[in-house]
Amino acid sequence: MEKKMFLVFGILGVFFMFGVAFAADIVKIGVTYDQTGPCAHASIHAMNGLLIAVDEINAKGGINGKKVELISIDGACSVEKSLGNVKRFILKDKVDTIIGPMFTGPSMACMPVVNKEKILLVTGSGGNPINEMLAEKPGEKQFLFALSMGIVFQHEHNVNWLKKRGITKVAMINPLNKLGEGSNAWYQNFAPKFGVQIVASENYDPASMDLTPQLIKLKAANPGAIVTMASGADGAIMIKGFHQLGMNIPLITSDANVTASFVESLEGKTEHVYAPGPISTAPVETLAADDPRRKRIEKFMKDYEKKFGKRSQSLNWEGVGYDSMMVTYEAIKNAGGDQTKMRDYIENMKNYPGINATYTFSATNHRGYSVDQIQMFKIKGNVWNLAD
Amino acid sequence: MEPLTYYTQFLFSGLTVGAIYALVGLGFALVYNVSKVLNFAQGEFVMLGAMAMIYLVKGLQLAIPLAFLLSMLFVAVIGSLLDLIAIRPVQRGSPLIMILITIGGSVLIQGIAGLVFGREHLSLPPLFFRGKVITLFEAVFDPQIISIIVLTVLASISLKIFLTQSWEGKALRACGENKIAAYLLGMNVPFMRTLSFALSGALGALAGILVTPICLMSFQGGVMLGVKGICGAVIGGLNNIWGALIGGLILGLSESFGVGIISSKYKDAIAFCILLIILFIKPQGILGSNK
Repeated sequence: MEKKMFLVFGILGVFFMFGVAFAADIVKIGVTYDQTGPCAHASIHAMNGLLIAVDEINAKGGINGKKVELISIDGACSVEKSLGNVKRFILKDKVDTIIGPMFTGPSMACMPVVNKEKILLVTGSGGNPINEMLAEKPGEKQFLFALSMGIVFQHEHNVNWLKKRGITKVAMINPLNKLGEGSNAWYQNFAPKFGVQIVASENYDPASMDLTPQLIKLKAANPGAIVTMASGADGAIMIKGFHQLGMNIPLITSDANVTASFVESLEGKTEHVYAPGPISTAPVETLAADDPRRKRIEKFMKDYEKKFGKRSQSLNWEGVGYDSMMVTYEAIKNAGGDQTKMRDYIENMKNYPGINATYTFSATNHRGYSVDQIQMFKIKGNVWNLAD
Repeated sequence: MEPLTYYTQFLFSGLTVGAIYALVGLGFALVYNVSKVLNFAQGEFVMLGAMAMIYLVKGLQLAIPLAFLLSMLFVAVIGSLLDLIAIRPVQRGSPLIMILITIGGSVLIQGIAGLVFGREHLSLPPLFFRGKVITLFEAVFDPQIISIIVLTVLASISLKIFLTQSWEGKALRACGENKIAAYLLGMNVPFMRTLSFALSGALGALAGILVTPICLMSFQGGVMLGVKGICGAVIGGLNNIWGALIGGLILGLSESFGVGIISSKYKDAIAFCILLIILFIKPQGILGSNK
């Protein structure tokens, strides 16, 4: 009897060892991008970019010989769901690193968890105040990195652009959420320092179906331009009202709108619509032939077409996913399994060439961006083009 | 800027949103009047109509009138299926069970729509008055809304005539007022209910097609529209065919004036407060009668 039990356990033990060995042969990455919900339009593109990066890494043999495997769960643009996913990645799946969530609120909610558990998290959230938090509390180690231009750089770029064109009176309208709050706060505090005055400010419920009540109040203040972080459906509704009211001033929207599908949703009414974007937004033909970014972007677009059978839909958002995966790859490759070392490694990365930007991180800059990585784009002929 | 301009704009915005709620609520009121079922999947009928229209017009490049009819037909079929598959087996059950089943149906439809149509917000070009804007006292108004209001009024009138003058319509009302008596008189009550679901599906599709040019549509867009449309119908009175129109407009106008005069933060709170007040003072709704 005992000999039989010994044999059974022995065989089970061998299987178990195989299981453990297989488990150790992969790098597990928890991804909580959003596939549903009002912010999903950006995340869906980011996911595609991420998948291309994973294919590229695995084709080269993986990270230090281990293939990358994703555990991907929809965050649904919800704080509760995204946070739940992140906790489950840490406690149940024991992932090696986390990518996402994309939206401001959910990504902010995850920061205390990843800092406490000391696990790296790379997001693309624009509204996340990571750099502001780093500036406020320089001693506190933050494990979140956000590979997008973010509110501060974007807004700084916007006011510079406005000032250069002699527009000093600006009205602003923002959604009633964390992103809108952050945007309001920045413009109120910093725009005057750049010589730009906020003459009117309105808010709106993101689920609104008509924004003319707020827009007419902005019009009354006679601004030289309007700035807003509206995007997706409420962005389209706002632009509709803006055109109906006959306002012929620049409407600077959020970087999240720089996608082909957003332009399509405007049904041809695209005048005066601007948005800041990373250099990858410009049609690749406008880059110089010897520009190294052009080669990278062209390779990415080729891989995209091969994998998805259609043209890249939104290079800057796909770039967020791709760059997030690649930066994570560098961290794991060079710093192994130690989360704190991985975090420090990224902080020390300088001039890392990505799709969207050439990233230079630091202890006070977890975005890797700077104002000169951003350009202004305008919808011309139903396509996003460099604004003049 | 003149206060008159502001108030006119709030009025226009309220009519815009209210007209949308009214048309959505009409289908809901119809089903309730005939079968006493509170169909919480009405919002999904709206969404499906919009999605079908988008697919037919943008994907298959069909002519707009043809796509219009096909979309309404499609959702009428979906509505009938919802009744046949989900409601008929439990038709002797309590109203609460019916409500839960329609909610379940709504979640199912959303899920399938998300897989089939994707997650992006999709748009339609305006069907009438393309690119035109009405200006009054410097406030602006999208004439598409006129078409929504006119069609809602026409639909209400047609329904009223159908329900009071035609034999089938009277039969539908009879089934709603007293199911047992209707059975005893030989009416095919289940068929009547299926017919009402089909009609409300078509109405929902109409709403979706007219509303999408104004506020776009996504696979989850029916939820909010459905809730507000139902609220509007309840405020106006479920057992009066004009209730959905009046209630929807009141809801839209109070939201718009609330946003304009008080604050955007309380938009939904104001709407639900109005609902609660009406339910306390006159639970049958503004136009409702004690039956």
